[in-house]
Amino acid sequence: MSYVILVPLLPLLAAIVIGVAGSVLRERSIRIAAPAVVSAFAGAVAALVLVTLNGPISVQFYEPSTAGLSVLPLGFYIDRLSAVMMVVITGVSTIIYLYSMRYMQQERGYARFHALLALTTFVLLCMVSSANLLMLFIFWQLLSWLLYLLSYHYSHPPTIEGAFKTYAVLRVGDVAFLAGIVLAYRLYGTLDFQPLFARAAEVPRTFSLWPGIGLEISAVTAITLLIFIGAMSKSAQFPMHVWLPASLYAPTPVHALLHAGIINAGGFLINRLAPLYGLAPDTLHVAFVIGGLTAVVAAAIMLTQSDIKTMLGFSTIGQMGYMIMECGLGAFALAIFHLIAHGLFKATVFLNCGNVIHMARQEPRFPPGHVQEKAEALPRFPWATGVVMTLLLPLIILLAAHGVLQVPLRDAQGAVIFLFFAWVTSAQAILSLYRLRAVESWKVAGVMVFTMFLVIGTYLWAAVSFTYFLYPAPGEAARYFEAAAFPPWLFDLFVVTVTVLIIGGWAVVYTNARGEHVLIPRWTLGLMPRLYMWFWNRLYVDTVYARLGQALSRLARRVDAALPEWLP
Amino acid sequence: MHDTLMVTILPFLGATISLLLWSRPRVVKVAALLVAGVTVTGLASGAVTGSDPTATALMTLIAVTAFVAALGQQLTRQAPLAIVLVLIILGLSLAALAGSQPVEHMFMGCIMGTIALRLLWRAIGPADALAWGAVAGLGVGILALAASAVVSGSIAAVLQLVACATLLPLFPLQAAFVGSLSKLPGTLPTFLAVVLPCLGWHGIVSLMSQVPAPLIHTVIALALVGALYEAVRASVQFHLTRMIASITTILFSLVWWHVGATGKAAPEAGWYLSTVSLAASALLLAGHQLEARYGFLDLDKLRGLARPMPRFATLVGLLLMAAMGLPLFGVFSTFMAMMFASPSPMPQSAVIVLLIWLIASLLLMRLLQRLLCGQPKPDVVYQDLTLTELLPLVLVLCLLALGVRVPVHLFQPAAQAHVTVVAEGTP
Repeated sequence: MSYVILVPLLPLLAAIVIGVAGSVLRERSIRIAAPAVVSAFAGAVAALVLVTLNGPISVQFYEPSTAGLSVLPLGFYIDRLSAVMMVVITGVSTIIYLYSMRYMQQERGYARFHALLALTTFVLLCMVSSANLLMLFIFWQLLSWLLYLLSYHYSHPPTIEGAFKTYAVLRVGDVAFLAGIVLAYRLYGTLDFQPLFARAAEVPRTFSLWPGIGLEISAVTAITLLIFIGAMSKSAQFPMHVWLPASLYAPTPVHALLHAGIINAGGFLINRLAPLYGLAPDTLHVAFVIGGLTAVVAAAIMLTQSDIKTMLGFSTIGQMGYMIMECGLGAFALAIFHLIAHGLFKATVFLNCGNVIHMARQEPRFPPGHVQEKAEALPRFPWATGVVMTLLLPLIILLAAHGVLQVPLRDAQGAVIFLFFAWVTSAQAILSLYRLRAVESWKVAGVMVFTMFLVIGTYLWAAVSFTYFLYPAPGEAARYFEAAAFPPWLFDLFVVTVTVLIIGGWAVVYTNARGEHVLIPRWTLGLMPRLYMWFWNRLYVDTVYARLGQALSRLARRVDAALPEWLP
Repeated sequence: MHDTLMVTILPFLGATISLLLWSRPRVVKVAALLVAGVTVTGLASGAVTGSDPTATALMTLIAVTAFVAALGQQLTRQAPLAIVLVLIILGLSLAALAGSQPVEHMFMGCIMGTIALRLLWRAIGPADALAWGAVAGLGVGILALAASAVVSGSIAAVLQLVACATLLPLFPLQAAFVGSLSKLPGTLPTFLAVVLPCLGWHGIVSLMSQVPAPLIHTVIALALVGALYEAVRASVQFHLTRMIASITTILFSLVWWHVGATGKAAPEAGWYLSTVSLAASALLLAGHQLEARYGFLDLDKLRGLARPMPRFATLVGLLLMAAMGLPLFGVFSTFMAMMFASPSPMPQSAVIVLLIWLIASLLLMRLLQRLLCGQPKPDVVYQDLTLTELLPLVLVLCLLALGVRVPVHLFQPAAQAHVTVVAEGTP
């Protein structure tokens, strides 16, 4: 049996020890938990090296057919994807433990907190290294339960309501996931990953939604759609995102783990089942739409919020939307790259946010009040640099690729997707940099150039090396791009829309800097406050759910009152 | 045969001794524990071997629950009567399961009669509609059994099915089950939560082949309607045991759905029934411990138990987790096995089944929150469970954890799907 099983077992051991002797250990519980998680991190790194050099590791605890009892098929399958995720999870957990050492000191539930955190790390590790779909589902559900336990305080009324909301949303996702699993087993006769993928690819099957009427759907599409609902719930996709902002009162380290680790479960799930999703173009298109919608809505809501944790929460939702959108485009490796980067970034931001909140409570002059910035003279050099870097250079690259290098961009949507993501990211960064006023303009321009090359370099690495690292089989990644391909007219429409948005962004920045609003039609100015109110109220999605719950409750009471008492 | 007779007689013997020691509740409890313990040992060790393995498994389960019910019984004034009734019903149920058809029905009728008498004897007033409903339901069951003895063929089968539906609750005959669990004193409901559905299931096992086909569709419809009906009932409940009884009825309706959808009493459904009844039984026992302390089980008055009663809260949290079908407990794995053994790739009614499963788990979560969360009441003196009180709950929890069983063949890579595929596309 491979030593890699120690990676999940160490946090489990720590959780058990603290759980049993927590009342005795109290403040010393960190001395058990931190070394266990740090060792698990070292083990995960070693596992990643091992898997990269020698291929996937399969650990089976027993042979189910020879085991005396009918038992759950527990075992590990650690490939490159699992190993990367294990490194991310243990890495983020290590940071959180080191941070919590002092941050959570003197809390009443100190030991319980560390026990639950260690248990969550164990569950996450087991989930990403599951040997089959059922085991993955088991740990998926346990994660829902742990999320409920970790995030909520049982004597705080708003938290209790939030907890129920979280559980309800996650349970809807769990049930859909379960339906997908049942359907997969009933149609293909196995839940082990590789045989399942092979059988699904072998014979395309259709599944009747309602016999006799003729409503039929591809079996793989039905399975992947159902499982996607599970991913939507865990990764807080619109309209199942409402649970994440409800966890506002959780301790800061829990937020860090939630936003950097747990919420990535949806992206991981789609990647783990990539061969299945690669057979379901319709599901990928649905994922693209849901992800895109989530990204836009969450980003807009974030801009209108005033609470730091809520803002970060909606930022996470937006990033998850972005990640799901990448999956919907067939860029599975890019989604994993994104979730790693976002995980590390968001964990740091959240941990720092705890310090900011503490500082704001102690320092009366912090945060400083809103200062009206005076419109300054337009710095021409950074503006020119920005325009050249984000508008002209991409155009030159595009023309060179199409004309000189003869790259058939119209047929290679995958390449265009990477180019566009690189472009959007660098344009966003450069637009932000352009607002720097207290820095000399040549420095800003220099940072813009550096940012552009950094972003392009990173995306190139993600497109080539990381994609090959995660999906080394020849043509595998390209096949996913092909599966996710849109009709050319629709794809062109997306490209044109994004181009218009970036150019429009530059135009708005330019006119705003000059104190002018000529490019924005007057009627939109009247629309702005209304839109602001809508987004400030989070599109009233929470209100709709609350009203629905109240209406159902009222209906149940009325029906119950009308029913005879002797028929309980 | 002699062994079976011995095991069946033993509880009656224990009940007789308990009657003689009526004034000493502690001794009555010890006697009941001894009887239940010996019965469990006899059944589990294989010393008592019946021809029907399903019946033997159910008998063991019932005997274990009797042991748990006796162990968890608080030594209140009602304790001797509750314990004696547990022993009597244990003997009757073992006899029913061990016997062949006419004998089985006779003992089933006796059990229903005993429960009805106990409900009537508790001096229910004319306003106590639930108890009267339960008595009426039990009466229907007894009459159906009696009538089935004088007719034959499919009519007899339908009548027996009606009797089974009063024990393993099926709409609109759930009153007997819900009323018994809500209205009876002590740990008797704890015991009945297992006995009644097990007896109902045992009746169905031999019955399904004789039930006319059109009735099968009615069973599916009644199961689904009943689940939604109970969901409405449970969602407005404020009494703990009544709420548990309603939610258990919802979960049992899935057994009826499976029976109807497959046209047979499949072992997976039997396993599911066993784990659900065990979880319900333990929750009712937890309710009994609360009632012994506070004298009421009103969820609006009882709240915030997590902080003042951490041991109770942990155990109830785990039990509710088991009941709502979360891993790694038996209800989860048996539900999965039941779903895997469904008749077609995804029958249309399965969507409703999953919806029902979702509703049940949400209701259980609401129950957990109402009981454990919130600020403790300042006018209540809280006292956590003692180790003796914890023991039966831990025992059931262990049993539920041991129930993590999934048929092995599901995970054989070579296994072939035995399904009817509607249409196959071209590669």
